[in-house]
Amino acid sequence: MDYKFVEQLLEKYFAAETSLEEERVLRDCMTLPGLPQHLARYADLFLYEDAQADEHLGDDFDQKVIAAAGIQQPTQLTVHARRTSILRSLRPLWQAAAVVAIVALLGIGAGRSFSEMDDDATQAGGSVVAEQQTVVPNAVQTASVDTIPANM
Amino acid sequence: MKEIDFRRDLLPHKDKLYRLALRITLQRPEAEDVVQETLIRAWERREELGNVESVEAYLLTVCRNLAIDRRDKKDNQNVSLGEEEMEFPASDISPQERLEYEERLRRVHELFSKLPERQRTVMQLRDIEGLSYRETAQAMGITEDVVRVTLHRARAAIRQAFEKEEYYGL
Repeated sequence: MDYKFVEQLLEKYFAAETSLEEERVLRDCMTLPGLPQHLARYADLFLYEDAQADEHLGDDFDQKVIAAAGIQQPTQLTVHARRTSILRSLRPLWQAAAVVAIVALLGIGAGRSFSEMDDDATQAGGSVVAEQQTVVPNAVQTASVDTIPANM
Repeated sequence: MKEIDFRRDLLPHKDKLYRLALRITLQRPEAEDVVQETLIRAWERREELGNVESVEAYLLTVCRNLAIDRRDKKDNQNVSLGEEEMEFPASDISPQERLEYEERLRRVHELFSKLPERQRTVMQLRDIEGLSYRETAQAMGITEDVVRVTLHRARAAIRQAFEKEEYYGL
């Protein structure tokens, strides 16, 4: 490593003649291991500045300052994630399948009932027809007695 | 004219303001109060803020002025300033190494704290926040040349203190 370069950069830094980019390079160089002592003695300055850049306010600050400024909080919709089993997550599917099954069964049942009703209706309707038919055969029979075949 | 939104335009600057206020007041609770007051004042003047070139520079200026006032009041009240608890996050090192690390950085912190306020502020804005000379000048209400001269003096003072410590084995 060319420490001469680092030394020159450091001199420029203390003279306030470095650009921001040069200062970034210098900071990186000053954290390298194996720096000669006359350079390494300033390493703590850059370590300190790096550590200071991490200083920050606590998590509760935002709420406090927003309240103090009288700013209305937006309505927040909180969604809570919840662990669920596979069976539970498929529940809507079972429910839907159950509904379909019930409707189908009802439909089949209804269909059977209707067809039974038709049979009943046919039988019931047939006796009426049969009565009519009875009447008709009598008339026919009368007609046929009246009309005795010639060969008898 | 830009419409200022508190959360979008002002709140994101809070940590930078806090670090500056802390550099000047050297007290965490004071620094937090200064930041709160800075943001509230900026919010109350949000209509004017919409015309400002740099909201950040405006906030830093207000913050610095409030921090200086707060510090001066404390001095006038002759309240002894408790030693600020410095936190130097360091991970993955042994407790012994951590103690040594914290002690080394505490010494640098003391050197920084002994600088005059203007030099401390310039070091804070340039070295720690990474502001350009122009941005630093805007925030402090001074020219870029004055920033450069002040920075030179601050860095030279720190260098001298380092060399003195080494020479005297402090």
